Amino acid sequence: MNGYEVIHEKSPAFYDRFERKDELQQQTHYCPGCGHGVAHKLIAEALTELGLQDRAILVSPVGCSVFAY
Amino acid sequence: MRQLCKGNVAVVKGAVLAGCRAYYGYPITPASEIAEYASLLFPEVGGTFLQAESEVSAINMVYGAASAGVRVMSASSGPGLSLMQEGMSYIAGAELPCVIVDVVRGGPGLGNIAPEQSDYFCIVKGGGHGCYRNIVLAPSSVQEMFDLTVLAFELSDRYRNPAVIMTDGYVGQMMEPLDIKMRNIEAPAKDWAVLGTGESKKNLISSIFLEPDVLEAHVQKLEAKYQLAQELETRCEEYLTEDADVLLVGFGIVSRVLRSTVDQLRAQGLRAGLFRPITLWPFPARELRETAKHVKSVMVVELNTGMMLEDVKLTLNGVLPVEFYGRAGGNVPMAEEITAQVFARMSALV
Repeated sequence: MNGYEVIHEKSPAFYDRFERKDELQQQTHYCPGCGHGVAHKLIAEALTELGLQDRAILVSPVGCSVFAY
Repeated sequence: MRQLCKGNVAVVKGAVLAGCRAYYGYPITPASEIAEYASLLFPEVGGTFLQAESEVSAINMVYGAASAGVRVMSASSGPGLSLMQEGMSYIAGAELPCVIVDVVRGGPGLGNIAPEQSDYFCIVKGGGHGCYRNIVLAPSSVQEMFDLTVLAFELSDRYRNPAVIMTDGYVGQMMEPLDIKMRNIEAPAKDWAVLGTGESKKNLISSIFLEPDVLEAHVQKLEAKYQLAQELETRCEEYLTEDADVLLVGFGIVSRVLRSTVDQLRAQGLRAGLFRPITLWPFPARELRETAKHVKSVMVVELNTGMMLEDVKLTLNGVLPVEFYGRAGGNVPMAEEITAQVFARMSALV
């Protein structure tokens, strides 16, 4: 793909492993094929690129992405 | 430092002294002086004043600032408080401290801008959804508008829960001497706050608990806090209750009128006393039960059609006759009017 940089690794803005609340251990955020996960990835990459990781507060909306963390 | 001050202005002075540095609100009569004075004072002390586009926005800005661990407040009156109920439920659910002031006006609907006490159910019983409580303080003077605002910040931080100053158009608008005793008030450390720093990166403010057992545990945790508050935080004032046969019960501006009523009744040979709840929630039930042991009857007076009346009746649980006199629409009874009401009910009262 000309003019595009394809990134295959996980953004360092993501934790390797996030200790989630107990009740979330058995639940998935999104349905197969949902685009929300891609949006999270792009946000994480932008935060890393701009060096904002430790200066950011994420406000999650209502709906499925309420569990964006 | 003694000064002549308006009730609404005293709230802002108390808030600033208590270390509150964030105000989000929308003006409404008869609470507007709070926003006006906050807009002058907060920037001067390095704080933030922001007029939101509505009370719904304002309460959610309060939610955000409270999440970031700063002492934060808003103020409004009846219709604005109706709009804030959803946010207050979220704030209580997420266990965040904040102070909300309700300078109650006439309702329902747009009603009018004159004083009532008709937000009692909405504020004391919780107008929002779910098992939560507001800590509710009811000042009856300009001095208490200041003092109880400071206390409201301390209680809201201690219990990580919204605290509401519920007063009325009279107390908000009246001018009286205010004595400010400067003291150092420090907010507790809030290691749970989301600060946008590396250290607080994993902190999470949320009121969502999808698993039934987990939500129930959360609700029980809140309830344990509320039980503790009921144990420790009830406040009231009594006037000539030791030998009283008739106990008058009223809060806020009504308690000022009832004080004169007690004097008038005593001048006419009837031993009357006054019981004034300062905390509407937790309701001073223990104290009222204790005082009521020695009286023959009780009369509740409110600027509504009988709201705190229900808490008085629950507290006394049928052991004494409880009469009620209420005015609405912005009418505040004169002491003579209530005295006449007491004598008109003599057969029921003594």
